[in-house]
Amino acid sequence: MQMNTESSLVSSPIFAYGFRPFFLLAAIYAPLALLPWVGALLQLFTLPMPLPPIAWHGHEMLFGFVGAALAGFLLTAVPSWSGYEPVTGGRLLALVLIWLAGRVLFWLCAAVPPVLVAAVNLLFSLALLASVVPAFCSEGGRAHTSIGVGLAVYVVMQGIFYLSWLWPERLPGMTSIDVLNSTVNLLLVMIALTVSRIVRVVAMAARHESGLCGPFRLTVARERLAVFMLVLFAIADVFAPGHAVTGWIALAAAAAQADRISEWPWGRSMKRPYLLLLTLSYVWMMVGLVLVGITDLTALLPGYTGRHALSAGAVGTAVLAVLCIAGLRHTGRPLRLPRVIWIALAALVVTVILRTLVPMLWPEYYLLAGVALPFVFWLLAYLLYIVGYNHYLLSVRADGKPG
Amino acid sequence: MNPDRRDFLKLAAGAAVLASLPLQHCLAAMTGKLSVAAPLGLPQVILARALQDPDVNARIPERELRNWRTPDQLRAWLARGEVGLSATPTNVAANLYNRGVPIVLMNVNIWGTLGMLGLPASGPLTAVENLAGKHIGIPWRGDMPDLVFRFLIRKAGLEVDRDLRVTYQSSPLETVQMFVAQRLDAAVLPEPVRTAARLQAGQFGQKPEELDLQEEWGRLTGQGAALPQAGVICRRDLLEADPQALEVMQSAIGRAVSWVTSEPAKAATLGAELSPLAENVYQGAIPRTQMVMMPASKARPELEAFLTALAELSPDFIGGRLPDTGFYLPDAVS
Repeated sequence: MQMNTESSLVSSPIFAYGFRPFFLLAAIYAPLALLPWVGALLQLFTLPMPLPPIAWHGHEMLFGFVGAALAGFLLTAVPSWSGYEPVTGGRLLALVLIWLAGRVLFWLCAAVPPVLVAAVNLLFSLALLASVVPAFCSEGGRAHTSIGVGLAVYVVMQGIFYLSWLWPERLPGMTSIDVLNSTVNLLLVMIALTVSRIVRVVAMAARHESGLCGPFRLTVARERLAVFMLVLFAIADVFAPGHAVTGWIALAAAAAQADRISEWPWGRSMKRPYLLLLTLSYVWMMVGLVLVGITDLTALLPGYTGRHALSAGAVGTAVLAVLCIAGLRHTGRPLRLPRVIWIALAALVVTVILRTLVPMLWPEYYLLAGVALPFVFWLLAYLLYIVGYNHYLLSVRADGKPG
Repeated sequence: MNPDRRDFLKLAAGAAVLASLPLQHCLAAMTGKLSVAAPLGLPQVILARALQDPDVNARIPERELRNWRTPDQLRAWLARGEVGLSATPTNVAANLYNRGVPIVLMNVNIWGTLGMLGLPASGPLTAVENLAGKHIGIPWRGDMPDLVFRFLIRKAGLEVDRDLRVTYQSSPLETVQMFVAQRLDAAVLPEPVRTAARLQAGQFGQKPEELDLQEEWGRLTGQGAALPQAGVICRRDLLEADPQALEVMQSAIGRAVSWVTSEPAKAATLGAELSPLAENVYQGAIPRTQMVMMPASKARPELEAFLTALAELSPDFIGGRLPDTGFYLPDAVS
């Protein structure tokens, strides 16, 4: 009887493809992960924790929420690119359970040995890496090795985070906040690499759907320069955070991204959701890099300025974009976003605007307009995603195909 | 007009005057309900505890505790006789008295609530001299935290705008938010708001520098490191109607102050029940606040020295002049 229940669970649509459980969990966890942080800042409630609340917050957003979204994306995109057998059923359930164990342990981190908390969380990332490495090594997957390297570095960054938490004396001069900032930078590089793979198809489709025809090409050298500048910024930000040279590199990286997207089709084509979401993520990337650059060069703004434009803005938009687009594409549906998703996107934009600008321009309203209100809009964005997509994620493909 | 008629007219006139006064509220209060007011924070905890005192309970069966948010609100309540007794900063008390509100100062019980928090990244904060070149946030221009800060800055040989930048916010919460957002190098804040800001900065992994402004006052003036900052006032007609009841309240306030300092955990729980501030905020604020109950007449020399020093910066601070003897509760009652 128990075996029957288990087999019906692993054969249910939710475990038919990696994106299904992980996108749903990412959307559910996105607002939940913020509760202890927002609650503590607003003095509403405090979750006991043996690490600074900001480090807890950064970990849960980057290795909890983004970790789930990344797992859903890679477990779906990599088999799709490489033709390698996807992780489904029982193996997928096992990954989900490890991820859930990581969340439960992080919420209880004051009551359980910190080494156990770190080990289980790291186990999830290593298991994810092990699940996709064979696909990257296959013939079809080799062209995407850079994404695999990105994932490996992500796991290393997670390991360094635990080192900075558990044995800070082994990591002199580097705080857990520095590690979290570097992880965001790494995710930016991964976004840029992924965009390089899909932007041609996306741009052509957008032009086609907008009734445009004629020649259209993107310059590979300009794309590579943009990615190279992001990598350079990420490295500089590890070794010399806050230094003027890092500031100049951040500004140069912002300019390179602007140069890159200047080639994308603007005008009517920009109304297509694919392209609009990619562009929005890039706009936040540029805003964040400019603010980080100004902060490093002038010291007029606090050190965190621009970091939320990069994390909640660029990474957050990319995550929501992947959740929305892959959620349609891989459930066999046409690329028409449910109406509520447009409201969710607007809510996400408002979240990032408030989170970025209020501390700079209206710091006297920081906790209310810069923390509480963005949380409400962030909650709204993901609630609407769940409303719009839960049926797609929990039921079989619309076109009857497997997956 | 015969004498009987004259006496009758006198009596009628007297009754009319009495009827026009809001005295009946207070008289009624002493035989029935006593309305007490306090701003949020430790003064509220002290008065709440005093109102729980068995002696007060026996003497004044019906009591109520209200929160006042602005001095104007308190002035209106006192003028209408809606409130008989209130905790106030000493300058607000002097101001009310000098503007004709019929009150007396019963006691001073808060002697040190002011301090500064500094961003660790902005350098050490062990003396006000460290503030040169810094951006400081202060709630309310011309209020006690501002004047104490400006007095100390001047004593240290610094000048606002020339040596440091000061911005004023419209409430302590705004100053806290600016400090937490790291848009200020340092902030002047009273307790318990200062502890709330310190705890919030701690959420970001920061440990703000702390500077006690009372100790700085002692260092820079060579006087004691205690400033008569807040106490309790009552309506004069309450004193005239029932001095014994006030005596009971005065003693209960003394016991309440001792209780807050000797039982900080219980006091913190009471504070959290009374206000939106959390228990750990009060737990941090109590050891950072100097509390000693001193009858007004005994505190007068220190109070006059303190108010004179601050009134030099802004005469409006105390309503133009030092309050006269009528301001202080007579010793017989204390």
